[in-house]
Amino acid sequence: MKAIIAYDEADAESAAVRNADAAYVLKPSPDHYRPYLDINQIVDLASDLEVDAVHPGYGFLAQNKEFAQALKDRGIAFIAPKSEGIFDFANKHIIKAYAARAGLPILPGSESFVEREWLFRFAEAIQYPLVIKSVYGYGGVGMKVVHSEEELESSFNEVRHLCSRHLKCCTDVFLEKYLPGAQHVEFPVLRDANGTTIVLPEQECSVQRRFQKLVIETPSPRLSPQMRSRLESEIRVLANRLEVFGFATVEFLVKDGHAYFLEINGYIQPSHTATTLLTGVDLLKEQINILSGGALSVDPGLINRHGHVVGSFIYAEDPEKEFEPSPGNIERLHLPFGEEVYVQSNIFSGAVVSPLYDPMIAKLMVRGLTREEALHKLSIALSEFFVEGVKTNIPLMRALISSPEYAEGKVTPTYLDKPDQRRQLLEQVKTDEEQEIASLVAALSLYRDGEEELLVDQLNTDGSELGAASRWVNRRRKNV
Amino acid sequence: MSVSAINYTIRSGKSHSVSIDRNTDFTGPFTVGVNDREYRVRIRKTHPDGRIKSLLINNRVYPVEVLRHGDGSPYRVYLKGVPFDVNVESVESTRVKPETPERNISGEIYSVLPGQVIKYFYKEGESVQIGQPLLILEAMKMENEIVAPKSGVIKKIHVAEGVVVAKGDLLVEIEDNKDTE
Amino acid sequence: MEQSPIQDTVNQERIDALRELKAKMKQGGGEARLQAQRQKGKLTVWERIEYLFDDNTFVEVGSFVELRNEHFGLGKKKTPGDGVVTGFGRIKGKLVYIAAQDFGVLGGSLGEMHGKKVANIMDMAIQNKAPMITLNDSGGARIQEGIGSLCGYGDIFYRNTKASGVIPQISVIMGPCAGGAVYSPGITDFIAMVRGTSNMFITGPDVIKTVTGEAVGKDDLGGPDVHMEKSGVATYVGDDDEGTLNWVVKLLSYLPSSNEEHAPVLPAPAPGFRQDQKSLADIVPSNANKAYNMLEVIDNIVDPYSFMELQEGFAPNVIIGFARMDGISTGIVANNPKHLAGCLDVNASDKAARFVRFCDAFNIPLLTLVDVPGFLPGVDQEYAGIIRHGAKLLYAYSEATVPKLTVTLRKAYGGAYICMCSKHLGSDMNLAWPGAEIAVMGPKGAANVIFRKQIMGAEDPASEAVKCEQEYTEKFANPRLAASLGYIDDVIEPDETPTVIRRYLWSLSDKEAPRPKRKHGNIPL
Repeated sequence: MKAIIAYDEADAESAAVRNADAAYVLKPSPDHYRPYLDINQIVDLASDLEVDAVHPGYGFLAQNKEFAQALKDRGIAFIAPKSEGIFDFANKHIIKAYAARAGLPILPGSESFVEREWLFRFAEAIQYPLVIKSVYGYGGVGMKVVHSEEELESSFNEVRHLCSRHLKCCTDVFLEKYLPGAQHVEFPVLRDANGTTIVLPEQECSVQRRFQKLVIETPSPRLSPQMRSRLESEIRVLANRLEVFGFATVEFLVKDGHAYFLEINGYIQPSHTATTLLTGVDLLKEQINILSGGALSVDPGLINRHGHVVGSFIYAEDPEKEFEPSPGNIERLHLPFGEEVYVQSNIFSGAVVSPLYDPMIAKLMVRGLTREEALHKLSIALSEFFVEGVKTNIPLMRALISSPEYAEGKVTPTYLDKPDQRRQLLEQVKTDEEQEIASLVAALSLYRDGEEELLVDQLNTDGSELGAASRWVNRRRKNV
Repeated sequence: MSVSAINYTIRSGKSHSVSIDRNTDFTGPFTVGVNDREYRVRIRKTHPDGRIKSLLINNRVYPVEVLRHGDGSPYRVYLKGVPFDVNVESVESTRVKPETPERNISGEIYSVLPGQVIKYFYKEGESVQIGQPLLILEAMKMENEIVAPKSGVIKKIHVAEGVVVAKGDLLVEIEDNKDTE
Repeated sequence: MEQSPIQDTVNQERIDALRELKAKMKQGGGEARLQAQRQKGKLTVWERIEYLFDDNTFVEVGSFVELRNEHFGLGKKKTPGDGVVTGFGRIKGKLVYIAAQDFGVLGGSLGEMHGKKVANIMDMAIQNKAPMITLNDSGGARIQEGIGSLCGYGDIFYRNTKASGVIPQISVIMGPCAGGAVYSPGITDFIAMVRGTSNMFITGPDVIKTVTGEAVGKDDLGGPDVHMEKSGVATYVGDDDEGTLNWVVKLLSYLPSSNEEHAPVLPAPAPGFRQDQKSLADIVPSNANKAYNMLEVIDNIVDPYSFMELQEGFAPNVIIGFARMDGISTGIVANNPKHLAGCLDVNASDKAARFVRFCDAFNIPLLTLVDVPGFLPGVDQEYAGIIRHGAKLLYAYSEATVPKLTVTLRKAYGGAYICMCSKHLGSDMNLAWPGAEIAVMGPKGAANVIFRKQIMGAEDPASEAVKCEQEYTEKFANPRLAASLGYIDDVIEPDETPTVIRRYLWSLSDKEAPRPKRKHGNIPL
């Protein structure tokens, strides 16, 4: 199978572009925020290239009906779950109704609506805190938590505005009860045309920021084996009812031993590597397999469910400045490696982290026989991960993973939201020796300032790299 | 070999007393005493302007970054990306400081060139710091900035703007700040 | 490899005795004197040597030399070493010779043998072609030794002269230096002084008070700041002993070990090193009336952070110093329009001329940046002999056979234009920026002479004068005329300057410009 990639100029240096069999650049278009949303351009390109199928990658048009239709009209397959008619996974609201009918517990919520008049009425019924969700939202876009009535209207406007900008589809929203401190757990599901369904071990998103994942674990330490098997069978029922074709993830919120169905996502996410690492099942391969008419190539009975995988997403951002993206040039880079340490990364020494897109620069995942072992490995791998030139969340992740709170499972997804909490976490990790060294470094830099002329540094060389000046090498002249 | 050293008191978490031997070699190796411990330090890499980028401390590599206030004093040190807030409490040489006799700098500013006074930056009675520009004298067809040779208060402006002066004419007088006494 | 212990007991005893003796000798005049030195804020002589030289590389020569004129009770005060530590060692790997006076022994005073030691080490430096450093910290001549001390000085001055232009000589005044003693530093190439502890003068305050009645303190008479700002004797003033010695080490990095070596070369810095670098066309404004700081221009042309200014407090209207271009040590001479409009005067000519001659003696190429409206007019300049002093600079540049590179940034008028290493004085590279004004005199003056009749006869002489000035500027006061005659090799964009200079410099490494044989010229002094 050949892979052709269509990309935005800003991603010109990415690994995907370099490694693809062919790469085509998308022209910027004034109508669209980013060319990745330019359906016409993409479809035209796909058509000209006579491709068999288009994979939407991680986001943008992954759940866009217009896109799917446009491709269908040109006879190009769309590698995403079939979303025709009632089986529209992208529509969170409808799917929720199906789940309820299949017997899965759901959170209290409202009908979907667009008009402002309904807003306050529904909110009153559900009570605070609640979440305003865009019906077609995904990946954290199109969701806002509302804690009180004062924030309600502005949040509503914000969500709708973001939707029209990023999602290119309807701006319907619905309200749902918010469960603070609940864990996100999702089960990857594969189902082929024969109806063979595989429900893979669940993934927990242990810590997030801005609704995007920072740390994930599979399986979730929070699910008891009984709960797991119960949910698995319920998911199986739902998947069959909805005639899931291909790959999907079924998401739950778990709190205090209860699980609530949240939504189904029909697209591969970056975090799914963890599942592959644990089970050996190549989700992407199976997805394409199924959607091209084949059957699952995996024997459900032979899937490995032992061991534990923990992963951390590395972003080029400044945790001290509320995770503000820190774009720039990556001057030097050393990726960690080791037994069962996996790094997927798009960057290299000299790469430029663009301010235009999500500043994720790597996925670091480790696998261990036990959770404890996995956490330990991840902590070490994080300490070996060296990036120079942009700020990253690596030090913060290191502090988090090695903290006792994390090991004891006391963290919630919003654990890192408060600056004080983050600071405290970093403080905890500091040893006395490190404090001494910090003062040493401060003194040393003052010392170097205080002394005159610093460049006596240059003299400690053996003169071997003389470059352009090589005609001037120190040598004796003839008698003057 | 501590012929002479500088003792710093730096607060990071708690107060630490750091002693660095003075040396003609600015990359080290330094033997730095922090409280009771000795650290062997070598500067591995610097930025082109001399700021420290990477250190070898007791044979461990530390990428570092130091943030400073405008006056040069460091307030935050990043060790391997983790921020440490620091505060400089004192700086002292282990050696006796020689007495530097007071310099008598005259507050009378004479013109060194014949020219025309174009503009004054201060009025009589205003305070001025050493090195700040006092006036512009146009001479040799160029604007010459005359700076204050010492800090003080403008006692008297002897030549008004626009007047042509000869070399050696008294332009401005600065007197010492009476408040500092 | 462990050495087996010594079996011969007599030899072992001798060795033990020697060790004890040497340890005592290192104390010089005794612990009390060393402490007194420290209390004044000074380092002791051995502390200075250990600070300056690379670890374990110093070799002392003549540690046992003692005085032999034992009149006036000197016999009892005999000390091995006689108040000076001489020897050699490595400074950043380079061989360097040193004579360091020990104030703790007889006040560091110079007697016959003390002088002989210094002369001896200087002979070694000259023969072995390595730089010579003197650390001066002495009460002066040892009066008790009579003519013997004068002998000592004479031997030293003679060798300072013999060594001049053969090996770099650096004097560091780290304490008193009075009377005849000042002539040795005076002959040397660079003099550094330490603030608060050092001074130099021929006749001290006491004698001056007696003879002329003037009352002046030691510091006001010959302190470091006086010598930096007024007399031009000091090249550098350091805040303390260590800072001053650091400066010496840095200075050595720009100098060859002797006149038989090329200027030193260090690895060139990587390109693209500066953030927010301002364009040279913005630093030097087009409006010729506006001043700017030439130091900023220099910093943007030479290798980053490599410029080391010398004599910065003296004659600030001209800048001298060492820098590196692609790692090659280069001497920089530049007018600074920030002071005295960048005019050349008596002090500036002296300052620059001596520097040019030093660079020529030691194969260090010269880069001259020109923005000079002329010589400073004034009766006192004339009486002070601007004729003689200006001529020095002309002479120095003409005499120099090292690569000479000149860039004219803005003004270059009259005699000063020629003085600042113009093509006529043998410069190898002569570039000009588009805004350069190269002419006999400024447009205003010139127009009034050339177009005098026209201006006088006009209806509105003032505006006619302005018109004539403009005409003159367009025709003459621009680089085109000089370039068309070949006196300017090229007119370049300001930001091209760093690159073009480096290309020229690279080509000039083997330059040879023979001169007619003669003993030496007669430079106006």
